[in-house]
Amino acid sequence: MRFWIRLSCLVVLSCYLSACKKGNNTPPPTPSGTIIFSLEHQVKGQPLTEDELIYTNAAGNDYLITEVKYFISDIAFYHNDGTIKVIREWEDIFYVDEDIPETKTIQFFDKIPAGIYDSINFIFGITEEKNESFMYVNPPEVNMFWPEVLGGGYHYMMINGKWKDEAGFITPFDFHLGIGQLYKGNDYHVDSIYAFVQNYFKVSLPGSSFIMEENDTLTFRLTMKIENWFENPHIFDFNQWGGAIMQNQQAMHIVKENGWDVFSITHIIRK
Amino acid sequence: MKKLLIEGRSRLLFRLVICCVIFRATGNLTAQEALNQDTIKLKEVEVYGETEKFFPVKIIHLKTYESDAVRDIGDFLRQEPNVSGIRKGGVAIDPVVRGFKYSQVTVLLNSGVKIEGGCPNRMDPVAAHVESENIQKIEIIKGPYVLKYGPVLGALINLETELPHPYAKPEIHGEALYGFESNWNGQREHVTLSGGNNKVFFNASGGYKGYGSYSAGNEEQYKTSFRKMYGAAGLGFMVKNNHKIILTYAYDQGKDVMYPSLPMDERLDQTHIGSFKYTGQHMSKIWQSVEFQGYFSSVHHVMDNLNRPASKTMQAVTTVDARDAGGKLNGILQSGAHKIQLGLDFEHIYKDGNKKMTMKMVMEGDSFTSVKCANVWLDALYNNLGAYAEYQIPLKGIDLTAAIRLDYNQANSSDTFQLVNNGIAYFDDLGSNYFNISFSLGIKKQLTSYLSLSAAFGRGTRSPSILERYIKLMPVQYDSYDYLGNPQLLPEKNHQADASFEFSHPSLGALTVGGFFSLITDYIIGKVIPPAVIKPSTLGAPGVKQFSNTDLVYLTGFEATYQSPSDRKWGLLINAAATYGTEPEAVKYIISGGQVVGEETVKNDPLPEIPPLEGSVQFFYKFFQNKLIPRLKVRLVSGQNRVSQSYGEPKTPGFITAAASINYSPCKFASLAAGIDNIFDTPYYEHLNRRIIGSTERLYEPGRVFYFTVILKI
Repeated sequence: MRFWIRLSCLVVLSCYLSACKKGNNTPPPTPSGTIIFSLEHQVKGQPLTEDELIYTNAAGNDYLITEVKYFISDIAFYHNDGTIKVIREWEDIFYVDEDIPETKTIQFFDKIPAGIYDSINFIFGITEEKNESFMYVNPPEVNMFWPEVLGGGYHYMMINGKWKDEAGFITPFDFHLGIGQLYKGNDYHVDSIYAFVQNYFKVSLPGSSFIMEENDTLTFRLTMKIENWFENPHIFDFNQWGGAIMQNQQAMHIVKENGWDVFSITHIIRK
Repeated sequence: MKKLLIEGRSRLLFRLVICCVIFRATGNLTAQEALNQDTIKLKEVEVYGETEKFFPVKIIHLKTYESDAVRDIGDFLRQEPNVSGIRKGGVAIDPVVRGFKYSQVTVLLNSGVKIEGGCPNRMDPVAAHVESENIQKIEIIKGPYVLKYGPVLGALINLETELPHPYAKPEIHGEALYGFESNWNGQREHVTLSGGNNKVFFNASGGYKGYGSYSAGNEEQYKTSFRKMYGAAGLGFMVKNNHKIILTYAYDQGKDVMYPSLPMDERLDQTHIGSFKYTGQHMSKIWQSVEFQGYFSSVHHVMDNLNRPASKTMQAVTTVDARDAGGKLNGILQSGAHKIQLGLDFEHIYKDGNKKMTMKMVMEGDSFTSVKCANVWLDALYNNLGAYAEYQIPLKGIDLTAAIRLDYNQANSSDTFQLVNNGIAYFDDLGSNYFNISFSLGIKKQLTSYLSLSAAFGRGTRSPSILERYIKLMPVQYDSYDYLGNPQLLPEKNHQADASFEFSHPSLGALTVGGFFSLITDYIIGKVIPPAVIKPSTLGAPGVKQFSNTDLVYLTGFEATYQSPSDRKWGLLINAAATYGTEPEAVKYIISGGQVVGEETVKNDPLPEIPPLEGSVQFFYKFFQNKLIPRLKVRLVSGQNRVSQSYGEPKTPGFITAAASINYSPCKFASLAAGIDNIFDTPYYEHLNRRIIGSTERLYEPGRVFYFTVILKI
């Protein structure tokens, strides 16, 4: 009889302890919501129309766009309590391509804790620490490969198209941004490269404060104003820089500095 | 041109040997000599007597399949109930037994020789390093019950090759085989010589196989061509009465072996296997026998994607060297009805390999090439030291067998690669040591003259393989994910119970029905690692998975076989088998717009890569005193609808195929076989067949194949 009483006590105690342990290991869920980025590419307030020579930039170049593709990464939400929620639980680098609609809607795996947020920012391109050659092997990202001899990793951006040059010829351009190179003398030969320049930059989205409530799904409509790449603070003239700039750090520096205001939030949709 | 010359020489040699064989066969032997020869040629064999075993075991002799269109062992084994295979190309089908696969199935040679395949994609599973023509006997043991061959988790396949054996007087024998298969224009040629006397004896064999691409029943042609060359030699000595030494060496080479379901093709695979075996019998009244076996095997494996469209932008070449060495000391003691088997064994594996990726880009009119070299394994080592004991005794009419095995396992690697992210160490501490215990207990009771009952319970423990511990970013499993090893994986433990009854009547035939239940703890599966932590390095891989232990899974199933009485002119063999596997809690990732947006738990998710219920019926009739035997076989496989949600495994439709063959043996020196596989050209694929790389389409099985085989023996 004693034995059975002891055994019963032991079983009850074990159940109690295991229940306590389970309770301790499972923290109560934090109230949170979901965020979706919906990206749109516009020229002068209208959705981008590809392959038509209908645009003129600030330098007066008539141009058309055939492709727009780029990376954004390290998206950060600044809570008003001073904490920062960085998107990285599943993916931290996002590829966007005008011709692949599913890449223009990004639903983050990470849940965003409920609260008041002051702002959103992200890296346009990929930081030096993460931009490793061969980290993408599948299309479409692999097509953004940046040659090892020019700094390696991947293009931050490819805007491809054509412009009407001074002679009136329709000339292709590769408006590319990635790791820049510094060359000895005036030669652009790869053997004369003596340093590399990281051209990624941080974008702070204007008017990006928001309130996240529990189980909310917020969709941010982000717009890239393509014409802004060619102006403010620098006028980018294709006739001056030519169609290929990935080995021209001066031109890429201008593009980088023009990039601060190309993105904006046009709508926030709450569900 | 060189290739043609080599093939030409090979065929010339083959024809010369056939001529010698025919000359020898018709010229020299009398009937009495032949009779003597047969009697003496019965070398000593381990007589298993299938009915004496308490666990499910199947022994298949060369005679059963030598005339069939068998390209490799894995292909042939799929005919057995609850044995399936993973097809990735035309050859090297990886056996799956009762849902156990890869390293969960131990495949060894001659009861002790082990081979570590070189390919991370398992282009060369163990059975692919040995040609079916060289194998005399295949033993399939289902369950973790036989512990003398090393750690076994779910099943064991022992391939016994032809070893030299003594003759009462000096003799020499030869055999030649030629086989042809339509559809993929496959040819196989094999020659064997053996002989010796009662002191010194030898054998030697060699062959060539060349197959093209096959067409399936859907009229699609798949790039599955391959070429194989192989040779083997053995030398034996009787040192004293009952003391025998045998030395063997085998070479096997695969070249240009195409795998449409893998991201690469095998360019070259070279295998060397050497072994030494000493056997002493009747040492004393108690010591029945002592055996020592030592071996060494090495594999050099090269694969690339140069024949794939993807190589235009990125070329990848992987080279791996794998070495396996070990030995076993085994002794059998018997005192009265008590029989004890004791032993020690050791296995050492070394593996090293690298992947070279070359990316070609044309940018703004200039051409750029970038090269990256990464190791797949870096001086990875695996050591396993084991001790085992097995005790057999008849106890009150019940045959009782108990066995225990202890293993000390240690592994390490020289990797400098580390993966630690957000405080989580994915790949960091490389060394691991485990002490494993396995045991089994079995009984067999003869209930009546015709009816017997067997039951077995066992625990098999398997330390993680060198692949599961240290592989770096290669698509090595069913899904297309790149896999990352986990140096801190825990050993898998299988707790299994089997029960079967056998009804065997001289005039009614034999019916065997058995079932099993298996509970596997620390089951090793792949878990997805977020791309923010690591990205795949193989073209087509959607992400990276890391080998991880899950709490438990279970497998259950049955096998039923009926065989008609062997003394009849007609014969009937009916098989049915199925396995069901379940993971009580699995993680499924929710994908929206091509992105992972969440995860959920799936309750009782079926395990992936479990073959469906299937059955087969085989009928034959013996004409002219067994000289002419036509045979008809029908295989019925149900659809597999129990598929893993967490793996996104597709369902597979059922199918029925039929095959017919005829064997003609006009004399004991020659036999001829011809047949048709897949008579109705049925378009079908097995559930375990992999997908064609870069698509969701599955790799179909070959369509209709006409074949013939000629065998000459002296």
